[in-house]
Amino acid sequence: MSIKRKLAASLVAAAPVLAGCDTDTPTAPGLELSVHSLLGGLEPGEAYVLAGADAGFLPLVGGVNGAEYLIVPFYSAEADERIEIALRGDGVTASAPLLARADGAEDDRPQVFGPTLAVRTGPGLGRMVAASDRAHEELRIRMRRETMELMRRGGPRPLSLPRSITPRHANLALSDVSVGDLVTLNVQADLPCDNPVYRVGRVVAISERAIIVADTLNPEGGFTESHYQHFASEFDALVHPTVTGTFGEPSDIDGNGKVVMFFTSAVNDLTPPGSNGIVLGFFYARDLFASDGDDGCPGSNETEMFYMLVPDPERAVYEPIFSVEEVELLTMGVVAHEYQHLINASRRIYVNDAETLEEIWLDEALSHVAEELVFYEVTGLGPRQDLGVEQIAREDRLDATYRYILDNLVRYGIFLEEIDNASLFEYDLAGRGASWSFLRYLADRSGETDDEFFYDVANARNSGLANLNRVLGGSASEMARDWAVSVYADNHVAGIPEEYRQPSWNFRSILPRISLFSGQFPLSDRALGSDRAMNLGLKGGGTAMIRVSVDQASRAILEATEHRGGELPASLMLTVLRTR
Amino acid sequence: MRNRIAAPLAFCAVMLAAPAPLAAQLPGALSVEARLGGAFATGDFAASGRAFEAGSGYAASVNGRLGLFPGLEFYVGYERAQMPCDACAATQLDDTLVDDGIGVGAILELPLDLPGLSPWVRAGLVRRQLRISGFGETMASKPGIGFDLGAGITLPLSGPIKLTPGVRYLNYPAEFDFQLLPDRSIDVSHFGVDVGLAYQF
Repeated sequence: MSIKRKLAASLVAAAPVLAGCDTDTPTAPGLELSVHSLLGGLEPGEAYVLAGADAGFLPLVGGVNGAEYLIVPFYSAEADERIEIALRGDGVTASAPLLARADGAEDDRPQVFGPTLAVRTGPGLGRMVAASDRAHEELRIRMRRETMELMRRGGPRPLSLPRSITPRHANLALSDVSVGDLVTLNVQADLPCDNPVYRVGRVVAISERAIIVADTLNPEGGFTESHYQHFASEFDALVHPTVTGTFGEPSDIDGNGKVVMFFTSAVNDLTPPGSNGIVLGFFYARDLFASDGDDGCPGSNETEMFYMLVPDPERAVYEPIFSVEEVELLTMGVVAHEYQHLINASRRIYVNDAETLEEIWLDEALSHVAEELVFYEVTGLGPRQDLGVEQIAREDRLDATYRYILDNLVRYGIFLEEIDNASLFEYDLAGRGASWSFLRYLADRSGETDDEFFYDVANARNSGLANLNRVLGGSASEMARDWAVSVYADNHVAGIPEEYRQPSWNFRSILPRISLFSGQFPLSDRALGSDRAMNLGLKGGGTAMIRVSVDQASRAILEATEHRGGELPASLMLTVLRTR
Repeated sequence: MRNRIAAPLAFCAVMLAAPAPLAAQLPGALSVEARLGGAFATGDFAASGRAFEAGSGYAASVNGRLGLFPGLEFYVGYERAQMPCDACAATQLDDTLVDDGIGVGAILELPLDLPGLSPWVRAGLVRRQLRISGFGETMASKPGIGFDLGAGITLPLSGPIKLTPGVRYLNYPAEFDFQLLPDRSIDVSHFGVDVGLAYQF
């Protein structure tokens, strides 16, 4: 009887004890993926997000009606690194050609940004500016390297005034000038400190925040005093408050509270006749350093300044972009752009005690954001409004669109065209389009206002991705991975989560309406079939768009490896989004 | 989930309300039982082109039974069923599914006058998991609460040993809580024909 009691007690006790048994903890992504795929796999709008070897094996399902997937690799490495990957699809079918083409009917729509852009493009603005950017790119690399050498030498920091924006070393010629005065400025763009090339400029306009100087060697028939006065007043009323309101005030080493804009044909000279590109202006941080002393930089102009393109009517006969009208249209956007560079560098040197200048790709992205912010200010529009062609092509906004945002949009479109060979971390035309869009995407995801977010990014001691990681409090590389998916999915794929949206711009609405893109959304994608492997080369910061289909009630396996069959490195991230 | 539990509970209530025969299953009687038989996947769990395409396998269980009232027993036990997974090979998974867990419920001896035979029905709740292996690891669903219905007959063999052949149907939701992916679930259901060997203390 006692045995029976014990057994009975055990029996009653067994239920809760057994009920406490719990699950195993799955760890192998391949196992998870396989089980998930058997349970129906992804729904439209859902994604697998994997990295490295985990991305090597991906089961996909066709479901009841067939399915289409977008494969988006992102290589999180330095821009000069490259990886070759191979994709093989067993059971997949190639998707129809380029879904990215602007959905049929859009082809017949008028090109809203046609004529003016056509004038500016000549054979194609993108190609032209891309070439110029390569020249500009070399210039920027050299300028950054040499300026950082100056920072290392400690020349710019008088011991008494670090981290301040107070007067440090007046350029006597510029600290107290009047309209009509002549000043001498070094325009040497190849070397920061040595072999100065002096030009004499006339002060043509002075406002509360700007001194406009025109080179006396500028071509005849260019800007008039009225143009210059307009630039000065536009700077005071629009560009200065907008740009400093977001990024902070620049230094004031000459104590005049103003920025010098030197309109000089020396900028034009950086673009030899017949070039397939153009340098529109530049900022050179050497001008923020003392010219004298053991560590001085004799070539420094010792003032907050930047250098601007001027019209050249004779040259405009065969290169229309040098016409007064075209250069005037470009000028204030370039001013906003260069002003951010000036603010960024001067605050790093004199305010933020930075270890380094900002990496060029991020510095350029911030400058393109500066242009965008001015666009918002002029039009009354704002970020996170999913702006489409209807908003920016409205009659009363068209001028601002051309002046401040169209080039960003064109560069982004060129990035889409060249996406396989582009890198987020390069600063050619495609890279600039990408990095501007990426920075905008990060700001939109950050939960902060634009002012908060961009101020944090601009006022840093470190640079590049490390800077973004600090501001975001997370991995910028992982956000770049998600941004890459948003490039395809935003305003196109239903049911996607927020991280695959670009809340500020509806590029699928705008880009097909730019004449350069001939009615198409210019994204280059690839279709993967089961007949052969697809080899793909990606730069660091590079991505690609690959689409595959799986027939209804079918299963497929996608394999991703290095091109020789090895496992992918952890820096190769792969997102698989079900698009349909 | 509420219906999933309410249905067998209602069934149990009906069983409890039914007149119970004064048979061998007396209050306080304790027995243990081992069962073995075939398990045949049904529903989405077995459907072709969907999920696992589970097939036919086996189920084995051990139960303890305690008489509560004349003709009515409480049982608790552990069962493991194993079935082939026809769809698993395509995704590099092992081709075997394991479904195991515990069950609790009641067994009611039916008051039918069949010489030498005691028909019974049973209803209960199960708490089970579906396990799948592959890539050197095993993944299990979250424990799901479902129901188990069965019927059979009791054949006395010798002394305290009885044979208890029967049929049963089991259903529960298997929810997979993925670490990296959106969660998914499936109804696991299978029909079984088995035979039990019981020993009454």
